[in-house]
Amino acid sequence: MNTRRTQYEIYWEILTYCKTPRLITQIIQRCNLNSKIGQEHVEFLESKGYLGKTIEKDKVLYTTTPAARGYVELFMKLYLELFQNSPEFRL
Amino acid sequence: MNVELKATETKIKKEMKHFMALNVMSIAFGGIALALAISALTVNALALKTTDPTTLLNLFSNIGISLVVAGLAFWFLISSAEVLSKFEEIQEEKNSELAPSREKLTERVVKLIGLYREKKPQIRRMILVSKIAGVCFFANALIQAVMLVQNLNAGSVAFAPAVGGILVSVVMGAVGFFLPSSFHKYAMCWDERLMHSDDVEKKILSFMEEPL
Repeated sequence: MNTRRTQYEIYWEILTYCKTPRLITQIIQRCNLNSKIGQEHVEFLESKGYLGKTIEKDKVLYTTTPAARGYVELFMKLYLELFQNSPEFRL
Repeated sequence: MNVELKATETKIKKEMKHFMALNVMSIAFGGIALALAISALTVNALALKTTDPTTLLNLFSNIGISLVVAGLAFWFLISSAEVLSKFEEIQEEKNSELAPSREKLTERVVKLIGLYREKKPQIRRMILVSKIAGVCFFANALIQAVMLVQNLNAGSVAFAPAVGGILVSVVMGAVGFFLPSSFHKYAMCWDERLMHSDDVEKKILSFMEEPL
């Protein structure tokens, strides 16, 4: 879905999606990113140690590392709280 | 699933149901407004056979107003359909799961916040256009009522169709005010969430800056 997302929301989507090893093209397609931005985000997450790179049959696969657990958990906690602690929309 | 998560899921479901209803109502409103504008346009265009300059001027001004209303109603209809279409994508994902996990609920919140970020300017314009339409329908009802009273004395008007026309305008005027007030409530809820999401971002940023 092409919605306006913050970089942190995109990071979270990538990290959640990469729980199983993924190709860069799969990440780009699933997270609805253009290849340049997608590559930048993946490289950033790799530099933070949140994504690990493995090579399998000449293909580069990215997998979320245990180091990303803190980020993923904090993100979910904060976003669920954000929704829970706000007034409810009713007609 | 724990109690807190269940409460969040219920809240999300309820909000999505209410927003869906609001969108369906606004599509119906836009459709009826468009139909009324086309009907007025046709009636006035067919009456153009007259040669009386005053009547012609009236007819042309009516045609002009009908065209503007038809254009706005069409824009409103398309805008509502666009918002609904984006919303449906999230709704379909929601319906596909029986007991969504913490991760799925977060994903839904992210998508709903993204939808609001994307459609915020469009929703603001829809609130404005709907308010204007509400005022116009009420004004139309008032004009029709005054004309009915004037023409009743002269005995030159059918009472039932005239009252019917007034009622349609009053109902459309009321809906025209109800829709923006509901969209405004929706915008208020999400504006508050967006405001707090800035703090969330700061917390995430400071977490990311901490050494591993």
